Amino acid sequence: MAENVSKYEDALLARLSANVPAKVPAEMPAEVPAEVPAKDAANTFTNKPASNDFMPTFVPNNNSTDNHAIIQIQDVTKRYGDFCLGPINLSVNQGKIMGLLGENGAGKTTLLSIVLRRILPDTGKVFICDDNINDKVPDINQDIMQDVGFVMDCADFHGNLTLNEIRYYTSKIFLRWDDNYFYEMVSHFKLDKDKKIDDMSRGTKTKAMLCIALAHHPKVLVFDEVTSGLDPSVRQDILSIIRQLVEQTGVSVLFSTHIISDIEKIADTVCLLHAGKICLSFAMGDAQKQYEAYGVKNLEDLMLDVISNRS
Amino acid sequence: MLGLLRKDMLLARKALSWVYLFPVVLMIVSLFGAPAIMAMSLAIVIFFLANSLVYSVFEADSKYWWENTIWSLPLRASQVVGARFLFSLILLAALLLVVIVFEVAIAFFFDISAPLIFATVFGSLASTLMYSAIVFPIVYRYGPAKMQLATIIYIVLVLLFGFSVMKFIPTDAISMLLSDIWLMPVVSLGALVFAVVCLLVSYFVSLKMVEKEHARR
Repeated sequence: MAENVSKYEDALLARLSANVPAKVPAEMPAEVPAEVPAKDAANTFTNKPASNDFMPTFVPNNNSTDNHAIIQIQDVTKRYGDFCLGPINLSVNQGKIMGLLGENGAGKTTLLSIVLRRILPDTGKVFICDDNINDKVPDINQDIMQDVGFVMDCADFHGNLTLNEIRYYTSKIFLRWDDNYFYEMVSHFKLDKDKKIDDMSRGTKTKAMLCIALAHHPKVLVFDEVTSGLDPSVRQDILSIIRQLVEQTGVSVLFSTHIISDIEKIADTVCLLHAGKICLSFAMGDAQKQYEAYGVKNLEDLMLDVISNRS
Repeated sequence: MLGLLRKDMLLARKALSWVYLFPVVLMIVSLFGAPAIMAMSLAIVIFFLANSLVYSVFEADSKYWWENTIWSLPLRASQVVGARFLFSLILLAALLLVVIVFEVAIAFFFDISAPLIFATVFGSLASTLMYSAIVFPIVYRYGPAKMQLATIIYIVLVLLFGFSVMKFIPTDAISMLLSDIWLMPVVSLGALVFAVVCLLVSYFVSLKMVEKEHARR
């Protein structure tokens, strides 16, 4: 049985990689800096002194085989009453996963909503595949969203419809919609495509939304608290699917969570948000150095330490 | 846009309930009652039921935060608004066929003049389109929760129009309109053309509303 499942997953991933060749992006625009300026980087550091060797770097992604930034967020700010997000500067390279970590109200969802064009930033720009998506004129660059898949914490699609009914209309919205792949995903997750989304459990709903998010072979995936409230086995399943997708297709992922173990499992880069500001950002490959620099044992302690210093 | 039309049709189908059989009951009753009055009222009832289906789609979209989701999809504001207007028109066109069949049947079986039938169909269609032209921008600006307010605004405007006609148009002119039986459908057709123009203007106003709402976020 396990062997069959494994074969099935292999076939699924082989199909994925066959259908979606990793994109070789065009050259970066001149106005997008490859490195974040020092003045911006300063915003992202904690007040805690660190040795020069372990100075937290700003979204380094040093392990990237392709240093092209698929998602670029530049000087983005957004104010809601007393809450002010930013200025935020970060980038996600092709084939990398950036985990946004932060407590409730840190600004994770606001930042992701800006990346998904649901809200416009007060200042700053967001580039996806080199296109500025947050142009003030809504119709400009809307086609870039063909390359974006998302699962947000709230319902994205109509819960009074079945998964199959949602497929019926989304398949005409996305040009690269792949029905076969969609049904393979539905089968993999053992979903009932004729069941209303509202009647599904949270975990099943998340899987259903994942099927829709992936069926058009996006180059960028945005997940907001996608694993919150799920049991460990479902979480593990979803995380492994995301990880495999990234490895096989080169998709770039920006996902937020407050579950630290999720970050540790799949993120290439972690970005810690607190009170609307980036407190710390580093490659997971450098995590041990960061722990030593801050005198902590793990990511959870590091997060608590940074937040307590900032508060 | 096809995807959005499909979505609207699915949501409208979900909103269908027994209340939408009301016109059928009205048709049957009309056969035993006063066909002329029923012929006029039925057209209005059917068209307004069509409108209520469209607004149930608005409500479903609002319930599931569709106004947020659309911006994350490869859709243009003009497509979003245009698809909703088009869906409304497709629904009206489909029901127009039903109304025409019924009205022709009434005219055939009962002694009702053709001009009255034409006037009824054109007038009720014009009235429905005017309603859409007023309500759509308000719903796009303030959400479906303000639909009742929009309906009240529409009714007030209709009453004001009726009052103005009675007040400012000479009695002779009204008598002339009523005396020449073919003048009524002509006036109704004029009203229909005016309503279509208003709907066109309403589309652009709605589009502006949607874009402003997004910019405000």
